[in-house]
Amino acid sequence: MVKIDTEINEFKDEILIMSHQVRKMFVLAMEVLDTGRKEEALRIVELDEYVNNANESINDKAIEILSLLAPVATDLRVILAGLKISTDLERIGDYAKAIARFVIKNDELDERLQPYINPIAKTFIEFFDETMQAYTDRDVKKALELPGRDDEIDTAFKKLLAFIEKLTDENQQIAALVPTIGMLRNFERAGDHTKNICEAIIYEVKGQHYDFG
Amino acid sequence: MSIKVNVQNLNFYYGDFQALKGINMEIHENKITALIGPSGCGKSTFIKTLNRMYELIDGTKATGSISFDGTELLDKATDVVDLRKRIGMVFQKPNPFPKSITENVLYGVKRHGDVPKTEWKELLETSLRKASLWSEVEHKLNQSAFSLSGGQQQRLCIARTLATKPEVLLMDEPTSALDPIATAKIEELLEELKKEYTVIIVTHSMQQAARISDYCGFFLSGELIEFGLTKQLFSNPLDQRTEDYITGRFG
Ligand SMILES: Nc1ncnc2c1ncn2[C@@H]1O[C@H](COP(=O)(O)OP(=O)(O)O)[C@@H](O)[C@H]1O
Ligand SMILES: [Mg+2]
Repeated sequence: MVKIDTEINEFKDEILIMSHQVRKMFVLAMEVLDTGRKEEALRIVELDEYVNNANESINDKAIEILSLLAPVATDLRVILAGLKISTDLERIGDYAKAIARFVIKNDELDERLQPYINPIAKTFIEFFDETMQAYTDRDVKKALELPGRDDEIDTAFKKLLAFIEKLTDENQQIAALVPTIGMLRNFERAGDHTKNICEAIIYEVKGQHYDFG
Repeated sequence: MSIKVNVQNLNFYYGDFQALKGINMEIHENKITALIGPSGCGKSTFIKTLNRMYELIDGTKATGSISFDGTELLDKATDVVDLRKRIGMVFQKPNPFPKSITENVLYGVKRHGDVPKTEWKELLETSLRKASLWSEVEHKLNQSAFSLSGGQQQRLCIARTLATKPEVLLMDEPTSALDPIATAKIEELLEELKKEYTVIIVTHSMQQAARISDYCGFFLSGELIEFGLTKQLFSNPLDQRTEDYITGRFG
């Protein structure tokens, strides 16, 4: 194996390890939304620190490879795509942290919302897992299909909003739910960044730019 | 963008051995075209066909077409002396003659005898200036060319080629015998020269090809595997063999 292969494998491994941490943050976020356990939510904030460091370390590794090994063609695109992906992963981590902060600051959620929140969170985590799998497999076909899953998150979100509207009709105070809706938008945003990762996978493998919006 | 040299279905033979196989290449005017590939793939052979240098070797044969500004270069009727003036060549190792700097630059001019003596002095200076050597040698023009450093000698050889007023410059690994600083100077010079000349350079350094060329061709076993814009070839090559070679995973 040539040296650059070893270095690039290590680089991609770092990205995958970072993605596992981000995933863990979201799984925990989903749990604490259900249980309201603040000390668990604090663990998410701690993990975010780890994720930020991982992003920096990936940047350093990229600079090292670029300056010492002068990669070209696919090698170069792996580095450029990797830098984009680690930036998106860091942002996705930030959204999990925002959810954790909400749980730390607020009382437990109205339990009637739970059946609507779970599908949003679950769909996101599946979408994220399949995207990182496509990254590992350099699977362009998957990367082209997967952004469609983002629509499922949107649909689940609309159902939640419709339910909240119904609550208002039944004369409940909607104002109290505004921060909750804002917090749940973090799943949507994380979905957008996961779409960016799909774009980066296509760029890495094909050298083509896609924009999934 | 105009095509200075158009190579079509070029085959080349050293006796029975076919060193070039069906080469097609459009060489753009005022651009730098770099040729890369493992040693023995035919790069030097290819540029030797462009000024019919191969005719100096017995038993060689070229078929196909090389159109140079519309003239068929492979046509025996094309005057080879005139051709080699219009398509000049710089070699891998600096090869000045054991004569003064002045004599080296004016060597071709004196031999061809087509520039009046009154213009020699000016030609000497402009050629040395164009080769970025003037300021370093203007006070010692009568000293031996061998008193110069390797990098200076190579620029002297470039000046010697420029003095015959070529349109195309062929360079076969012109920096491979030079240190990084002398190499950087030549690369900088090439950037200047392409404003006036069409440059075709063979290089074993892929980094050099990537740095200095506008177009790049990748040769393998006598075939031109891929040819195109350097930025395309180095960012997203079309052929897997090109990818393997430029990323160092060849063989
Ligand atoms: N004078 C010659 N006689 C016979 N074969 C030659 C001669 N010069 C080169 N070759 C052969 O032609 C092939 C291409 O050589 P060359 O053009 O020098 O390659 P490169 O410049 O890419 O290293 C090689 O296989 C080489 O052995
Ligand atoms: Mg050669």
